[in-house]
Amino acid sequence: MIQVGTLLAISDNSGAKKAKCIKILKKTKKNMGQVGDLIVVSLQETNPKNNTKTLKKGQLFKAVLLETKRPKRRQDGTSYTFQRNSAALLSAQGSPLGTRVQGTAPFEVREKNFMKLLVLASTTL
Amino acid sequence: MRLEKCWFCSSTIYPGHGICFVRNDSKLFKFCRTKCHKNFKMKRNPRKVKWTKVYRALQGKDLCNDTVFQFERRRNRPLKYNREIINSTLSALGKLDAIRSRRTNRFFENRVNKAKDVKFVHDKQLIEQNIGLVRSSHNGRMKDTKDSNKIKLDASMTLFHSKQEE
Repeated sequence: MIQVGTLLAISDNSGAKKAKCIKILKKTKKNMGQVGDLIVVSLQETNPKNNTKTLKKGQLFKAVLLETKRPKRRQDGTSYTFQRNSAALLSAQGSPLGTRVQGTAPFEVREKNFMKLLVLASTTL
Repeated sequence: MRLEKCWFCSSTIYPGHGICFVRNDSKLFKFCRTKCHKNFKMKRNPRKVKWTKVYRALQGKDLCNDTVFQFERRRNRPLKYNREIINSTLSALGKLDAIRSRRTNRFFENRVNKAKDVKFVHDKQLIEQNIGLVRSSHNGRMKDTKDSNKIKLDASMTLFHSKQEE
């Protein structure tokens, strides 16, 4: 249940730490972001050690939701929750900005064809 | 489909039941129902909660480390389909279940009987040590009541006499 205004942790190593969701890119009326959804975020906090020149507070990026605290139910009946709300940043071309994702990339990411993110993630679920 | 074990109470999780919690270090915790999930959220230790299987095994209340339970094991290598093997396992399932229930029942009966014996010996010792407190119930009580009546009567008579003298 990610909505406009939700603060997200950034789980890749692009240099951003926190970002705020400002738009959920869905056509449905109920704009609640779930795992695997594409959103637009504005950066709130960046890691001072990494990429301070390129990433600044207030920059806009497209991102993919990877983990949500709200339980996600799958077609096979299983459901799962995560400890935090997190996303991974995408470049303007749609490829991941970081080179590593610390955390899980769920199966829904594969369904939405973000295959590069799946490869980068430490574990898949 | 794989039947997982609950992280908290170690009962089987059937398809469509329970919830899986993914920690930040991507460790999975699978729960069979909200009761177990809530207890996990309250940071309870399953070894200290009395209704879990771990607790009962630790306290020696349930049968564990038996050869019957070794059939149920996590196997990561899938078997190639073979009709004979499937048939034999299916026919063996009922027998195994019967053996398991018989052994667990026997274990339970033995445990309860042993506890009963221990309690009997303990009670006997208690009585022997405190034999002074034991009274042959009927006679003792009758005597007591009579005596107390007498005392009361005596007291009232003395009062009566003293008033008369005045």
